[in-house]
Amino acid sequence: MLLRYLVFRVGRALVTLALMSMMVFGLTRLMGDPVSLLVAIDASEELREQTRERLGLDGSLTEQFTDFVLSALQGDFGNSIYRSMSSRDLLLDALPATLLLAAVAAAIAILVGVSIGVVASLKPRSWLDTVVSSISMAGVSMPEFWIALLLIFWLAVGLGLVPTSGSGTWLHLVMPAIVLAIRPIGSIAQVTRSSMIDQMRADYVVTAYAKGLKTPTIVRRHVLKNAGIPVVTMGGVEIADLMTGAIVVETIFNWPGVGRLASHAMQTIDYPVIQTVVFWAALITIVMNLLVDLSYAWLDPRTRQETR
Amino acid sequence: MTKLNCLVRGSLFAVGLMSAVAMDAGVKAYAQGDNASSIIISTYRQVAHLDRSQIGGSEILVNGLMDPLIRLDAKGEIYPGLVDSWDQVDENKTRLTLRQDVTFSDGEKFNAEALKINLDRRLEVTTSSNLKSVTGAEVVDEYTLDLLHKPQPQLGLLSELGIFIFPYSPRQIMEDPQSLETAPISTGPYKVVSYESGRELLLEARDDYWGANVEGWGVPSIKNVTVRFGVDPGVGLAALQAGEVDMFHELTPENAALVGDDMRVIRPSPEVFFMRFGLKDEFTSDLRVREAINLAIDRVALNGPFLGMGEPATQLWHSQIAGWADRGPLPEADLERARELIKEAGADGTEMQMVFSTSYKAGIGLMSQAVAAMIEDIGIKVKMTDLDGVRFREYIRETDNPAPLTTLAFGFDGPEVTGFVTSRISCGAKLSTYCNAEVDRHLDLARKAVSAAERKTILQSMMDEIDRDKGVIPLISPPLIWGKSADLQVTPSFGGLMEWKYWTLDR
Repeated sequence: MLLRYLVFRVGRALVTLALMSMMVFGLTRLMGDPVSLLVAIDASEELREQTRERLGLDGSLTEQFTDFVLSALQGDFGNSIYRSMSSRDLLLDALPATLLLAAVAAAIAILVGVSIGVVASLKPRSWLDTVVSSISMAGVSMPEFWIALLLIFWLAVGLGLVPTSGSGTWLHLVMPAIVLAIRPIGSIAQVTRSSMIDQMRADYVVTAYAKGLKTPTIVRRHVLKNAGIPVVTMGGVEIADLMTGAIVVETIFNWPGVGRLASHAMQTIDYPVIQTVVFWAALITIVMNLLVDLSYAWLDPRTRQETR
Repeated sequence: MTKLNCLVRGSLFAVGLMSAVAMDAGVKAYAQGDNASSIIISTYRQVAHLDRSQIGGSEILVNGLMDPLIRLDAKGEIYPGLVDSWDQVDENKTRLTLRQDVTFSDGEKFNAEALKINLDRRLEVTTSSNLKSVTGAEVVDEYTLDLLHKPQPQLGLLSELGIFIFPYSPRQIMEDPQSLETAPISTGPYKVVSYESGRELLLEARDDYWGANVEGWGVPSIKNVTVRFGVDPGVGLAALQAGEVDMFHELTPENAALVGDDMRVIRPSPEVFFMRFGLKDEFTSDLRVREAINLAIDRVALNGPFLGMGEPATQLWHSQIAGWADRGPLPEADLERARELIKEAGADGTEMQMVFSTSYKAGIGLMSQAVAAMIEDIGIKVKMTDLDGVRFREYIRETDNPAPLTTLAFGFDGPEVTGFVTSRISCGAKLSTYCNAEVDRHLDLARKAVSAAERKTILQSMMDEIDRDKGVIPLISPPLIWGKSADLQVTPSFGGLMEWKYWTLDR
């Protein structure tokens, strides 16, 4: 049964990926002509045409799209327009830094988000719940660039505790990881809280209290497990988001990851690199969603029944 | 173990694995310019790679690696560089005699063959559009080379050599040209230690620099230089204030105002912002309207967005560039006369589109808004269109049907101003919407003029014609500001050029 469910979801993921690739190809072509950035502003038409031909941009859109699809099927997304490197290698170079940042931010987000969500849920509508809910709402609402700049001026310039930007030591990780974790902390805390409150009202919890079990035991042994399903969903989506590269955070902190690569590629209209990065982002999002769905099906057999 | 426990443990394992993979990729230790012999320079500019033959605009920070063939100062004076002397053989050939003591950092000799290999490569690289005159080279003997070129006045040709051609090791070009993008080998006082693509460049002063004991060259005072690219301007300022970096290139005027005089170096700008008219438009084709717009502009007030650090412009190039002359007091705004002219031309209440791009040049967005407000004061409604950088570059080439008003920039790399001016204002030029036979005649004369004094007279006469016709309106030369740490003493030299390798830096 799980196999049938898996085949269904993988098929849907492949269709999504194909549609995504077409959209990326079309949208990058709307960004402008990279030749305008490559040659001098007063360059001759002849030179512009030569450059366009060298980059393989002289064919019709249909021809370019066919080339793109055929190459992509072989895992080749083409060379960067500006560097003699394949865009896939550029992505692979940037990926470790993004994974490191994503891992640390995810760990912070899960630990803090789940903890404060549980704490808030134990006494709904208390002052503690109000404070936690407000903080998590603020975390979801505040723009990342603003938090980043505040932290830079407070922690780096004011207190001199960490470097303003860059990479190389664990101190460089502190601010980007905190900034990246703040939004997921808010959303995970909110989902954990509401899911926990629902579960705490369930009959089995009343029974557990009637049997004389203490709240910490009930929460740890029974409630957390059942409240975990929506949290897993939310966590999966957030982690996928982190792994695809945080453009704003990586650019502000000059972190050498996929987000910064994407930002640079977009500024310079480097088609192959943009396509590779977006394809990666789509792939990760689809895979993470698939994993979340599968974990759902695994944790809750009723979900499998629905696909019949 | 419950399923949830299994999932949580699995997730933790995955997170740990991702961290291990990422840590393994490793990143180098965080360097700090904490002693007198090393500095860290950061810049907001993005550099895709280090091959100057293929990149433009961001090369200022890799210049330490290279020496120029011809040295030019901002006043238009020309000095020997790696080329010791030159002699025009005929209108298509100039004989270059090279210095005989120059070596690349890999030990290769700089000679006529090495220069020919470099020139041949430049001519093959299709994006090297800055080479407008050079067509080839022939080796005469070990240190003599005949440069083949289109007919071109000497100043233009030598400027092209001095600004756009920097030789790389012939061995590197022949054996491993791709490495030019990450570790170019040249004749300059520094060599590349490492380069992290688009992010960080480490340079080290050469112990065997050929120019160490040569008068007029010498070794830089700083041994190690770290250049960080693509740093957000606000974060760059914070890094400067936190003492993490020694210099930041370039500070925005807003950021420069946040630091003291001891933390900035203001250099002559290589640019002048100006207004171009769409002369097919019913109203801007009328001289009275152009005159009125000129009278509406308060150039001193335009310096506001630049916090007074710019230079109001009376001509199309900066006061530090050859050909500039004092043209008396700044033209003053006269709103009353401007309004009269607008009424006479029947343009009162007309809406005009003004095209500009905030991402084209720093500060040009704010300046354009100020200009628009001044024009609205005389009874014209201005509809502003802010294009992104790429579309703006495409737009200003489309000269058939331009917007009535456009703000853009003249940029100058050196003393040869006629090339830049020609492409922007002469009849039928790629970026020009203006056409005045008298202006073109002056430009032609200026190109051919031999002496600097003669060129200056001709160029000023051309400016008189432009002023009379109000074909384009020079607005302001923005400041170019480097941020620096307060304890770093900077003494720019060699005609005030921006090249930091010529600066004396003391802590």
